[in-house]
Amino acid sequence: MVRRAALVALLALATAAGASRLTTFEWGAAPGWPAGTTVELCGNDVCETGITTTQHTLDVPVEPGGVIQGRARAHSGEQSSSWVELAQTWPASPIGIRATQERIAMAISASALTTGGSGTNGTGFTTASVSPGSNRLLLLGVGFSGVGAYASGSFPSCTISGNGLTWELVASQVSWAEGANWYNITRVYRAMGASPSSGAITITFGATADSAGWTLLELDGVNTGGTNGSAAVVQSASAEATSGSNVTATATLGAFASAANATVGIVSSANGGGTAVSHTPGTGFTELSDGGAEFTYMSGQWRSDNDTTVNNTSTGQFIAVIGIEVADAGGGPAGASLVTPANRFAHMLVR
Amino acid sequence: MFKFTGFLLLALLSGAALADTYQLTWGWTDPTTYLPSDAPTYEARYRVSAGAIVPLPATATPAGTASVTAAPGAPIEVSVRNVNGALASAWSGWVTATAPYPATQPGEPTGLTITVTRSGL
Repeated sequence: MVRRAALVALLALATAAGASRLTTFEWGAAPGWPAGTTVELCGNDVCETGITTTQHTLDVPVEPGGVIQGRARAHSGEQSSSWVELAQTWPASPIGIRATQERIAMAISASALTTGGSGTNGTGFTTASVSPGSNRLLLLGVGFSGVGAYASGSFPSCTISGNGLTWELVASQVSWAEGANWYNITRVYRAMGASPSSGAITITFGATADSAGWTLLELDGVNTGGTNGSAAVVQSASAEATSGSNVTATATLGAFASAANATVGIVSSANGGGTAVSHTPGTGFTELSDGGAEFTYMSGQWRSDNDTTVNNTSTGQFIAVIGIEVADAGGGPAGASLVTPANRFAHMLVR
Repeated sequence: MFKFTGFLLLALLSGAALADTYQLTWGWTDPTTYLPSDAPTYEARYRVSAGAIVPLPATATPAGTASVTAAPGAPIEVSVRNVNGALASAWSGWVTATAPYPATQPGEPTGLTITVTRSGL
């Protein structure tokens, strides 16, 4: 007696298109089958008998989208089990395929690449070696502490070189101006390149600095348009303040161009005595850097969203804050093609 | 010629240096009429610039999304198939993903005027 439960048929495989009707069935053989038991297998009424293995391939007549009806039974001598059946649909080919791609707006991220300063009088200062990333917005804050020039209204020039990039001035702010005496001037430069080189940045002043400081911020996910980061810098504003101690300054930016834009603050401060100071960013800002020397301590702060109030508090006596709105990379389509009808002005569009 | 070669070199260099992340969205129709006992699933795969084929997880409906990194302008293509257990349709041909909305087509110029200037005797 061949037990019905012993034969469990499972449809296993349909081969690739072209020979797509070749279908393999497999089943389990019960331990109680007598020796010499064979299986009769049918697929869509194409049958074979005398099968001694537990799988078999039939050339089943079926088209994509059709149903494969399989059945099998076991034979042993004069006895046969009941038919075990299964039915499964062979999927038809997909139709109406559509696919779209949309560039994802990347959130802006920021970090400090280097921060430092020097209390040694000089006109040239060099940062540590840095390795800017491709198409990142670089914001270099430079502080200069000098004497005398404020009275004449003429401040020493400052040029930046390094990393194979062109550094362009974003904004400047004078602080701690005491007539013909000491003053500080804080400047922010921007740069961006597809393949910046690694190396130090050289800061060269047009007059001797009593001390100098710098902080370099790198922002990713920004608008890479324009030249040297011009499209990434939307606007800037600056402010300065002087106080006996714990001085705070607030730079007020205008309305932001996009909710996805970020806010950056570059800060320079010091004590009149040249002792070290530290900075505390305004609410919502994250401090990226804090360091410097003598009369020029720098700090970088940022937040990934909008804030028209860019403020910082220094433990020192005077401070300058430069706030900057940074444009995000933006979303929207990429690779979109212009479908132009044949028109008589086509030549005007392609020139 | 030199200008063109330079442009080509610049384009190649730029392409190597840049990569964006794209949200890839696809869908299709499964015309199959299934039996109640069937349990169809749906498979998709993509490739960038006809490069390596990247399989995507099967879905319960003939649609899906994926995040794809590609250089700007590099074609992203999708191929799909219907699956029912061990039975599967043939993979579809490669379909190029397009922008979700068309680029703005500029209108025709207006106010066209022609000025003729005598240049000879």
